[in-house]
Amino acid sequence: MKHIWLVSGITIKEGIRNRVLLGVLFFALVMCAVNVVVTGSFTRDLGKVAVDVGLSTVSISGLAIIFFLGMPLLAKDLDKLTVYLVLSRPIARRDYILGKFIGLNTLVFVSVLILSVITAISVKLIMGLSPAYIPPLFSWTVFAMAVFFSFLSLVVMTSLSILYTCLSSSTYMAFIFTIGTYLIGQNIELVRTLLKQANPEGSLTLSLLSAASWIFPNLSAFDRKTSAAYGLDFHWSTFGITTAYAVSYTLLVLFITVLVFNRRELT
Amino acid sequence: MKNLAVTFAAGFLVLVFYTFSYLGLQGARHEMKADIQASPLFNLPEHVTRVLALEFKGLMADYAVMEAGSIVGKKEKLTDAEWKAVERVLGHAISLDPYFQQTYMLLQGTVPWHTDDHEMTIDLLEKSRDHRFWDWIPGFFIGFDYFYFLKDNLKASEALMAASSVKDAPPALATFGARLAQEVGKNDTAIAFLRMMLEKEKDQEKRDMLQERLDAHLAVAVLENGLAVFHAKYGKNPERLDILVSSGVLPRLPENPYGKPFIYDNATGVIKF
Amino acid sequence: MTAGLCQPSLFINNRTKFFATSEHMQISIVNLNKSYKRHGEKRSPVISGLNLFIEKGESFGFLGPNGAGKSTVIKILMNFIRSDSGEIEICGESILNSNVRRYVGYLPEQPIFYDHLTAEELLRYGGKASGVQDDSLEERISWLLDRLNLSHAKKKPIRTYSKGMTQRTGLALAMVHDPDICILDEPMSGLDPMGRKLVADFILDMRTAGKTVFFSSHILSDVERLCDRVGVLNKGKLLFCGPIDEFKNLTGDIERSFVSMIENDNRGRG
Repeated sequence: MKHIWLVSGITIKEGIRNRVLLGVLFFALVMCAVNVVVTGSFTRDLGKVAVDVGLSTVSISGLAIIFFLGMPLLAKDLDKLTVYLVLSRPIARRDYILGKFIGLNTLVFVSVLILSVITAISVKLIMGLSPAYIPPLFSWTVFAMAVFFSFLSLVVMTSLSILYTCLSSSTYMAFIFTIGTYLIGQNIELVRTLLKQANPEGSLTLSLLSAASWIFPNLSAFDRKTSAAYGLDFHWSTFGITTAYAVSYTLLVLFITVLVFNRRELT
Repeated sequence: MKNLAVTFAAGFLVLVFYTFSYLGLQGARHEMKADIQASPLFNLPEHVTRVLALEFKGLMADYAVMEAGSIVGKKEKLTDAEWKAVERVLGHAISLDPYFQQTYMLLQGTVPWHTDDHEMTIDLLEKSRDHRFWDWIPGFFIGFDYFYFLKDNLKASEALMAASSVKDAPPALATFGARLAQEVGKNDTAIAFLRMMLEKEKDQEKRDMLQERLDAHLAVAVLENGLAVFHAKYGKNPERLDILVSSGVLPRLPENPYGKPFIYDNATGVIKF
Repeated sequence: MTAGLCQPSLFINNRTKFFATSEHMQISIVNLNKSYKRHGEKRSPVISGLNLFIEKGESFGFLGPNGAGKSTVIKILMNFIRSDSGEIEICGESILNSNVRRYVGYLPEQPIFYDHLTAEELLRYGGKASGVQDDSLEERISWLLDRLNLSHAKKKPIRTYSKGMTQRTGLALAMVHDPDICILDEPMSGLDPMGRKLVADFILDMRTAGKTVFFSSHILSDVERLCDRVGVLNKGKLLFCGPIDEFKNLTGDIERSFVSMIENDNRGRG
């Protein structure tokens, strides 16, 4: 266990001093100012627009950290072989993967936390300026749940990005796979629904999609921005099962990653 | 010295070239601007934009509403094609986020008054109504559109009465819905509906309004009954309502709670209050 | 400065075929084979039938022309890549067990580190990871940085270091846990004469302290100075393994011995 913390420690240190993180945070602050401006162009449901912009900023920033900070760090480990730093010590390969996973997610968590606080402040500000135009059911609980789910989505994406980096011989391919999985994951549920409506009796495409939905993460399940914007009902049972899905999927991906990485030649 | 002069001259020439081409481009773009077009993104089918929007559907809906608003606001009179564009963009907005109030407000405030696409407007309003379970306004707009533009009082009254059951809906919805129902000969429905609303309504002021309306409908029911009896007896409608009393069909004429006389058309037998 | 002593007698070694007791044998490579497969077909082997035994306390130079497979052997020793077959042990334990690297200090051919860490942070991490106790760690880090002339830069990020400083940082990292075995992959490559002297002095210090040093090189003059025994690898085969004097005496000159041995082997392969 100690080894996992050591690896996550150097990952976090290296990540935090990277300028990309500063850039992301700066972007987030800019977006909060933009939020106030954008919301001003609307006259109804201002709270919802503010939440839309705010939560989207949280999601985009998290993704930016995965793609512009996390994956380059991992890529450098395997291309430039800075991974020797870790594996020349008495640290098992499994501990390297877990340490990286925890380290990268800590970076993501910190930025999600900072961004969601800034977003919440800007949303509160906007709502304070025009209280008549807030969706009547708005609730900070649902807002917090939506932020948490965004984070879960990012955790899933982090684990996949680590898997793809370990699987591919080229970091370029790992990028493509990760982006592709993100796009598929966001839409697989929607496409299945649309196809079912078009072909109620079923079709080959639908069966293939059903099979694929076991493999690709259903990221749309973690997208609760609309619920947060309007304060829509968010049952604890849904909350529980979605969290369980995220955790189990991530564990599965990590398990496969450890197996893959154990066999990978580092040269 | 010569090198410096050459450098400056070259730099100056490049600047001049750039200035001319910049101004030229501005002019060319200006001509293009006159033709208002929606972003090509919204020429795609609605489910495609939903797919493209990934997890940012709310944001894209906001953008769509903004775009629709800017098309509408650009000039006094829009062409048919431009109104079609507005409808298309608002359709996308509703598909991406059917909860957004500004979408239906913009829709109702502009499209039905400038186009004949009322069925489409009502379709979109229905989506908003089905999602915004806390909001009576979309239902009200649907009722209004049926009543005012499509002159379909039956559908209007259905929509209004459905809308009036939403929490905090003003009682006027119920009363207006009931009035429309009565005007298409569905007075019993109106009475039953108002009785149900009275049962649910706690606020005294609203109860008084509902009761007043109910009394009006009950009075009309009595008169309609009387007309039926008279018609059965004499084979035609009476000239005036007071003939119902003088002929012995009714003991007396019921009172109009609004204080005005009933409006009676002896040709059709329709009674209005 | 004791941390992590190798105690081979604690590990039971069944392999008494080649040598009497495992106490002497720090590194044991038996019948190592490695080839890189491309698209299912085997290419010509990178290492074939390698047997190599390094004794405790000796300084062993691993020679060979470029592409002979020296780096590959070292990477297999460090479990960065897998052998196709063969049994490899350090201090009597299989190299597949990560614990083995507690006793090993490794310096890669081109040390690259996380740019934004400082030398101090890096050494702290390395020491902790290899099991050095906290109280002795700080002292050890200061001593090492001083010894390697890095104290002035210890709080600066490694990306600001020169190549020589990076190499010295690599050496410090390899030594922070006072390992019994040092495995150095081409430690002098790309260094200026000052840098080479520093590394050479280091290896000599290790020797004096009774540590085992295993390093690969193609700079023969260094090898002559620093080694007790040498091994010569060409195209994956071990051509010679024995005392440095014995090798030199083959032709009277170490360079001639090396060149003729390689040329003969190449001719033999046709």
